[in-house]
Amino acid sequence: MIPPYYLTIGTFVCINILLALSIGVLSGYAGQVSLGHAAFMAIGAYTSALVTRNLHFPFWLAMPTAAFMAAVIGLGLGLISLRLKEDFLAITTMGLNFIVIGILLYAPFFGRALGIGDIPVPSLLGHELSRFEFLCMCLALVAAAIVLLWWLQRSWIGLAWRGVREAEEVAQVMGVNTAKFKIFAFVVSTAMAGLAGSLYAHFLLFITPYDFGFPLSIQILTLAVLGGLGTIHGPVLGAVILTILPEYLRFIQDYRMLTYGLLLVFVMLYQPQGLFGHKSFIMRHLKPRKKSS
Amino acid sequence: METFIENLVTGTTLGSIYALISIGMTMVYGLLKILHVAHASVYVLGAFLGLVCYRLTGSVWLSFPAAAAGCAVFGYLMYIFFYRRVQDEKPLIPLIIGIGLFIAMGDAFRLAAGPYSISFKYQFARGPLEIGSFHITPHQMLVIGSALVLLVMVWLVVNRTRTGLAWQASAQDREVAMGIGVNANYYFGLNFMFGSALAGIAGVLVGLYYAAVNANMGEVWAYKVFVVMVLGGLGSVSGTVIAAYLLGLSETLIISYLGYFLPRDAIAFILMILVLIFMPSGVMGKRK
Repeated sequence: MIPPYYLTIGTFVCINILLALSIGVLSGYAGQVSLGHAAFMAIGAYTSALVTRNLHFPFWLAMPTAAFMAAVIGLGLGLISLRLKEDFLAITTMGLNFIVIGILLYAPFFGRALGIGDIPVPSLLGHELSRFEFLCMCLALVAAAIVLLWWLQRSWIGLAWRGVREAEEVAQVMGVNTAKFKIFAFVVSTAMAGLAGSLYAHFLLFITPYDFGFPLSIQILTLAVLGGLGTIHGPVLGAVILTILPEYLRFIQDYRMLTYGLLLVFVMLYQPQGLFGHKSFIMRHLKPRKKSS
Repeated sequence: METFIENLVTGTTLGSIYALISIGMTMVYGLLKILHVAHASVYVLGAFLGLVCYRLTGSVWLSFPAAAAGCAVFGYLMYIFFYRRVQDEKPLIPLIIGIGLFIAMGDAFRLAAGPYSISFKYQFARGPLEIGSFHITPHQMLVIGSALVLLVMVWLVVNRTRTGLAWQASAQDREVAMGIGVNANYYFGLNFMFGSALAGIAGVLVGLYYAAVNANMGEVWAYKVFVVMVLGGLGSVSGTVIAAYLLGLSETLIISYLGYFLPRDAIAFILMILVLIFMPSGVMGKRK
């Protein structure tokens, strides 16, 4: 048997990969930065916790509901994003994070500062999932997300997203309905964040508003930025590294926000495409050189 | 009536502090189109420098120039080492760098000073001033008075000096300004120094006003400054000052009469998002 400690780390790696991929869709492919992704995770986690506890939804129904609720709010943000560009969109997403946490902290329905406890453990055919089975489910979801993103990236949608990211006006002139694709990126991304939130809630079985504050949004952004935006392997590797490394290097745990902050600064200064992004230092050395002629 | 006047005084005090902190960030945005998020940590640095100076020398009046000078140097270094290298990149890169600096410095302050508030008490020789129902404490007088003096100074520097002229020219069109011999990078550095010095003074004022300094005092203000900037019409100094007092007063009055229906920063952000969506040029900004 695998010790529970490793199962826990494994599950957190999976949740973080989903979060990193989710911000990767939005910021990496479609070029819209979000500084409030933790808000969507919170929406997913609270939805999932409330419907299973109060309405007795099975987990398998609660998970899509959580993704759906997050995507609905994401759709609203997508509509706002049509009026706001770049850095102002970024501040708006940050503001959304504070507003969501503010509402969770003030409305008695959401349990205020105490959060929600007694979230049921997911069960399948009357059998409660063990921690190992939960990890397997998370791994399957990560695999599904990677396949979905890989397919999206190769399709016409991925092409349109890159168009929006690189030159929105040009894409528009070429006949791409940029508004539609931008909103779609928001929906896909926030749905994934909501899903990750649902997994988080049913893994920890206890959530509070403080779990989903602005620092978490920054952590999610760091995962993807460090790995490399605009790729699939970048956010995945970023999430794996930044989740496992602090477990082995305990001092990082104490200086967590300092580390994340400095990582963001220096990656942006020296490797803005991330450690494993296109044409980054590492990737240039990993790939066999093609003869130039 | 008495509570109303009291709220007016409190709101003006708050507005003065918002104005002093926001001016630096607004000027940076006007010149470089960079959202200088790390500006709020300069203000925390100012508060700590002021406190240290006060503890060492026992004089509050010395801590103002000390904080201003320390923050000016720090702001200049921030420009040289970080922002200057990315000022021509996509706006997201300087934004993320600013956030990284802000997060890292917040943690650095916490590690250096501990998570608790440090007392910054100073008793003025005279008591509060009372004229009928009008009541103002010396701390409030200090904040409002120094804000007035500094705002007049800002107006003079921006409108009556060569440096101010160079800032205005580079804000309008950097390339043309450089073409006619304005060393834009030099003036950008000066601008960071100037804005950071103001934020440093604001830090000391806040420390004195609340009689305490702590490592995360920058957080709430950092987000409020965005609200002030957006309300003020992005990059307009006069608009920012008006927006700062407007926010200070309306916040105090709303909370005093309606109570908290949401945390303070959530209210400010809802206001900011509404303004961004429906009045993108701010209360004072010009229509494009």
